[in-house]
Amino acid sequence: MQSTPPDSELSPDFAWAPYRPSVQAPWDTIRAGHLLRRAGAGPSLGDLRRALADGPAKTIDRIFHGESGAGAFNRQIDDYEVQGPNARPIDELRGWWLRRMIESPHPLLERMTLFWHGWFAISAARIGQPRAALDHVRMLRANAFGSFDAMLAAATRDPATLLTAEGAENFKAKANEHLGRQLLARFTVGDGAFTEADARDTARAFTGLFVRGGQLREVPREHDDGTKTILGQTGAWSDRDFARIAAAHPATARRITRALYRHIIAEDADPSDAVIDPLASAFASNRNIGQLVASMLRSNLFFSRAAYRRRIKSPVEFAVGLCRAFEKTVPTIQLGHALAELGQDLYHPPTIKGWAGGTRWINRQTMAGRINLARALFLGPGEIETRLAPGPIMAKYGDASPVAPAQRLLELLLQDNIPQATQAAGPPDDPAAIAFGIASLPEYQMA
Amino acid sequence: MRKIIIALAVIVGIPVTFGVLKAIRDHHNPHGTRHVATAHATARQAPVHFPEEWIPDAAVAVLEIGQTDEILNLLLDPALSGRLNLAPQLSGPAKWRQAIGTWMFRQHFERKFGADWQTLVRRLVKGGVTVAAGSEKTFVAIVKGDDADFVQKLHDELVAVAGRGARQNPGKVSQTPYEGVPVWTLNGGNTYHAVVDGHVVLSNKLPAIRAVLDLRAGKGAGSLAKRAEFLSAKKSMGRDAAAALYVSPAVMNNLPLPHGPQRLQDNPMAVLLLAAYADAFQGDAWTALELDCPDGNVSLRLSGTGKPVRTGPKAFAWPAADSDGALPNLVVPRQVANASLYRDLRHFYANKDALFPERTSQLIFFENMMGIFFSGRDIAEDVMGAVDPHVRLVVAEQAYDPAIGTPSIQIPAIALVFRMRDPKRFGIIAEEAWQKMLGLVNFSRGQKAQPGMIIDRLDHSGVRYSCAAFSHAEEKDKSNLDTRFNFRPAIVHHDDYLIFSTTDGLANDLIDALGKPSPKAIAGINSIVEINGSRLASLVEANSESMIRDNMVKKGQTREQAEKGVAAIPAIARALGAATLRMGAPDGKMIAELNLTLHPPNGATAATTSQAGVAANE
Repeated sequence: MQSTPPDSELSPDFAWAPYRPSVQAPWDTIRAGHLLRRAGAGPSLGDLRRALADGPAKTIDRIFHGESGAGAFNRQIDDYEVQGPNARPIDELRGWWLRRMIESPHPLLERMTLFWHGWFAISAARIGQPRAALDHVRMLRANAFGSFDAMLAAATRDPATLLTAEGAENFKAKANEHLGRQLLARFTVGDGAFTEADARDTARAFTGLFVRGGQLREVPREHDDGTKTILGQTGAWSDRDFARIAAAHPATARRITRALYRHIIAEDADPSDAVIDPLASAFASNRNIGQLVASMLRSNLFFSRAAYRRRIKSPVEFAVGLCRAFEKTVPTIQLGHALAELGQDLYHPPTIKGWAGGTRWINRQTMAGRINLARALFLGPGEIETRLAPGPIMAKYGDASPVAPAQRLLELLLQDNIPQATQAAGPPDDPAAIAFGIASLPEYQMA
Repeated sequence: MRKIIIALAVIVGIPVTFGVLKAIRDHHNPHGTRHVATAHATARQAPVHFPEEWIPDAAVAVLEIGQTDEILNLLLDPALSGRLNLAPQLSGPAKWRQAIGTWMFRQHFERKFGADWQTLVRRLVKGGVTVAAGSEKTFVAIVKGDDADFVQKLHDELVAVAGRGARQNPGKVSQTPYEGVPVWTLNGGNTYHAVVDGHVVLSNKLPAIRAVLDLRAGKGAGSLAKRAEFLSAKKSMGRDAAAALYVSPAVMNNLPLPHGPQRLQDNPMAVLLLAAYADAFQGDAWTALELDCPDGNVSLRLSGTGKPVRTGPKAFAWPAADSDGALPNLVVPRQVANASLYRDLRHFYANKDALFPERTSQLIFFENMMGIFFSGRDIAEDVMGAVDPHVRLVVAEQAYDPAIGTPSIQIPAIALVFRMRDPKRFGIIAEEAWQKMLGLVNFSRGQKAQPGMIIDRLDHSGVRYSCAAFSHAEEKDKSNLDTRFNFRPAIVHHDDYLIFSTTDGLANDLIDALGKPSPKAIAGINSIVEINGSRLASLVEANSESMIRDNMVKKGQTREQAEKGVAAIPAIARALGAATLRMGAPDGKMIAELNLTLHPPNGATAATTSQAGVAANE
């Protein structure tokens, strides 16, 4: 695909119409790889070839529902994450989440859980209790494709959210206006779409909610049951009413649609309201997250030049994508440390706004860090002991594709061609060295 | 150099490993037949003369195996194979054993010499094995057979077989005379060997084998047999040890010991435990490690030429009187491990500035905390000096009260036992400090919205003591309690003794144990550590699920791989039976002695070893 999208691809009518393979936009390895990268972290050769054989519609259906056994897999990892009545320590929880991402039969679910983690941006450091942090991420996973009303209602009553937002105590006599502003600015309508009065009355709606010993505690005598006006609606609102009102507000729908656009389609340019509005309007009316994501993944825009290689992989996408490509789990506690060094520390977003993403992921230091991580994963030695083994994976798929290892690795990791200058250098003989070389290319950093 | 010493350690380790495996077999077959290997164990070989006069004095480490039958009994026991699968990590020795069989071209040689291949190996090494390592990864092995004619015939047949196998590659098998002795290679120069006077001399370097032949011919540079430091180390050994490893200071001083002298200064606990020995085994003298297999068990004895330092900052580990030393270990039910130390804590703390020139954050924290708990007192004189140097540590599995429940992770109970010089005075001081500490813990937990402990007074056998415990009233699932329910800290002052225990259960057991007659100290020994393999195995099994999960995320293993890895630990621990480490200078010379009781009689454990020690000293 060319690097510059034509204007026609950005017109709303064309953009959100379902993609149909054509001579101009065939269903090929490049588009299949693009879909699997964005809907998960990176495909294996088996995933890639099955997607090519099945076509886009069937592949997207499978991406949404996950492979068979996804439920049992998640229940098993859920069990591993706890020890008795408590959660494992936070660095182990981070390790289990990475392992879940690497092995999950339902990668889109983990990708969406990660998206919502960035949205609500709870910090384990502020919470201090791993169990509360774990329960929060589980809540995100449970609601990742469901109704945003339910997600917001659950999130705003979640001890982890309240602790991170400094809203653990909400006395009637002193409503926590800071919490009110956080709920409006970060989780729902965003800055500029609410007034100080909205923030004050939102805070009053949350009075009577306390976090005690890591648990939510409702104290009715501390609830202010007077009349409040929140985002133009007046009544004796409680926290649940806030969730309903704020979730249905058009500004919330627009913010979420834009954020998901950056997460799934492209982050190099801010799309115009004309492009966003059709999806935002639909989302404002039904608050169905799964439907919003499906609309994006099935669209012409998603499979166009406007989306292709228009995102920078986050550190998690970079590393999990390599592990999934080579169908191997690595020591994920150490991997979690390495990814934290690269700027993405799961359970510890850097600010209350989550991860900025985009070009912030890459600088001289983090690019060197990515290369070092790729070297450790393929060639060692390094902090991560287990090696990814391209040789056996290439041998596993060798019968189906009688091409040289370098070409097969390119098919797996990049799908499209690498620059001429890189090709001219010629690949080394060792598949691990080839894989390391590809993972170190600037092109590989693009999702 | 490190690789050489590791290789030698592996050679020494093989018999230990096989001893362990043998015990695994016996554990799973307690009433089964005794194997051929056990029968061999009763006959001890005559003392062996090792050809040290043939070994160049440039050698930096030497392994001498005299009781080859004892070692081979462990190595060649055919019944071990099945048990090897219990511990996948130990499959290496199984492959090694298989390789020996392959190397001997079993069937051919068995037919040719009319004996099974194990017998042939026994005859080949009957006169002893000497392996010397030098610089640049050079090694020389000298094996003496039971009969020079047999060795020559075996060699001739081996050359014939190798020659037939190398018809397509004639250069692979060749010989060149040196000093009138043919020097052979059967693998194109990877190794060289010669047969001389009933010995097989093998090396990976041609100059090394020539140096051996020069020395045999009375030429060349000096030999190991004339090296005084080596001879001194050898003299310190038991004459009929099954095997002995001698290591030069060039190797020992370069060992990356985790608590080597450079690192000791950073870690007060390491200084307290090991400073007394660090200098003794790293100096100018050769170090000797002796291996024996008495009654199928394994005994390792490390001898250093250093002497106890009874003056200066490091004198805290050595008693003034030769008759003093560590007390025999205490014995309690469900005992996992115990340790008994002679450490003068007053002397240790009074010399902390000399022992730790760097004031680390841990040391500062310790001083601050002690200042709070024992406020207004001099820590060296009034606190450390209030207890005598006989310190004992006990680790035991817990028997959880069904009324409270069982935690999901089971942590053993740990107790420290001191003897007070002035019990009436110091008992109450220690009690006050302990309650201050608990107050601090409760305060810190309260800040994190975590439950605190309630202090109570308990009674056991007429001894009243303080214990703190978490409330369990609101716990619903008694089979899956939080880790905090492993702790019910207690302080007991009973007669002269002061007990700090992490549980009241262990405190009760120690009150019972201390009610028995007081044993005498073991002269010259200042550290005794005992481990009960069966209890350790039981503890690992109780926590196996947690360990499996740890390995999955920490090592990237599959569940199956993690299960196999964890399952190997109790198998090995049980095979160890009981391990006892004793360190000190009983005859004025430093020793470190490790005994693995692979076959405890009728399930006896380290605990019974302790009791025996008590009885012997009473």
